[in-house]
Amino acid sequence: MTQGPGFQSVLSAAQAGADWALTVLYRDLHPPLVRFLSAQEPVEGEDLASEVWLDVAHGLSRFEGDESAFRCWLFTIARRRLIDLRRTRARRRTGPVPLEQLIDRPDPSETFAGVEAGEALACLAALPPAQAEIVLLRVVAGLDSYEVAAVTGRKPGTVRVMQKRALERLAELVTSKQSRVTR
Amino acid sequence: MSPWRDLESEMQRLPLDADTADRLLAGSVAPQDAPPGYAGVATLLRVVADSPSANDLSRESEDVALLATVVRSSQPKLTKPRRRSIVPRLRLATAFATVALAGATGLAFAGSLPGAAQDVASTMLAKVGVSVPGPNSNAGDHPNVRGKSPDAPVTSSNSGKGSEISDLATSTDLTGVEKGAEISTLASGGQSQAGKRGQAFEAQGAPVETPNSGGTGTADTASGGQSSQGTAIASAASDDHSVAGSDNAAGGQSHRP
Repeated sequence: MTQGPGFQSVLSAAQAGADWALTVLYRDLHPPLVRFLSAQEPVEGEDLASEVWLDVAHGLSRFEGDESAFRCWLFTIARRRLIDLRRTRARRRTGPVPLEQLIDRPDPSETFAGVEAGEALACLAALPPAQAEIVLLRVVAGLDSYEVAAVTGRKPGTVRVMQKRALERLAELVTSKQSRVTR
Repeated sequence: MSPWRDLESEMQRLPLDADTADRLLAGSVAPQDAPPGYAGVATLLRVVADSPSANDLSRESEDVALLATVVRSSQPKLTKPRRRSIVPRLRLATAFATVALAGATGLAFAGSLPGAAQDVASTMLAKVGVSVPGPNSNAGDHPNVRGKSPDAPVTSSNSGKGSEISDLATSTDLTGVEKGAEISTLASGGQSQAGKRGQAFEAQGAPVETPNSGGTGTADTASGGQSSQGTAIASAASDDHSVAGSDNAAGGQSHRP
């Protein structure tokens, strides 16, 4: 949350189509949005983020709420876009892709600057998808457990249990990785 | 000395409670303050949270320009309320009136309108030279009794009575109860008893004398002589005090203070 009390004036200007206000919102929320999407869909993340911003632009004049609500709204749209993409992909099932064609596919770790971030992302990718999504919404999107519950349509108690299990699983993964490195 | 990462894997990991998990995810727990076995997780979460993607804002100017265009185009348009033209409504009313007139004329030609309406239509159309059947054209030899009701019977006894009563009311010298009684008597044909309050007893004749003795005898007769036995039984039971009480009462003596 970076706008603070000035968020309402930024929002009003953005709703009127002011470039400066839209830039403020974009700079604040686009990086976590891309990271959230790219962590789950490394190839499509950037395009999905653009689609999310278009959805936001279409509905911006009708939006009412504070900065937290705006962030929740944005990531709710992002999550739905992800779900839509996966459904579309499931409908368009194709045959197996030859291995040599996958060489040019971007590595998820390349999406993030630095090798450490790539390793961290690889650990997150090893989590069950629902748990990984919750961790990303907490850590990347900066939402609390209640906001994550609202975005994902789960109960806050369920989110707390899932995030605890995700961290326990991450601890196992980190430990096993460290033990492999030290041997 | 081994770095903390080496020691980390050797530490026994304790079960994580929900609050600590919440604080770890919120980034409020530093790796060195994390529970045993979770320092690596805290580091990993910080890396994920802090690392910007390689090309986060590379398309900022294009994206913002596109956003501004879309936002401006999807603004709710303020439209002035349009004044409704009266012409369509006028046309509709004219069409309705034409249809109604044509229908009524058709029914008038067929003689199917109700009697009064057929009469009016026949009269009006006759003035413009159009002949339509009258209301009784299909009646044959039935009498035309439309709109007539039988005359009310006139009773001779009531004729002129109102004016007579009115004259009496304005001309009599009587006042108060007597005046009301006289008028009432005239109005009711002598049947009213107004103004005779308190005289009903006399009007019904002489008073009837009612015997106040002989009740005991009547009771004795009615009960087959058993009613007098009650007195005897009461006297015996009270050692003649009940009789004495009666005597005392008859003699005007009372034991009451």
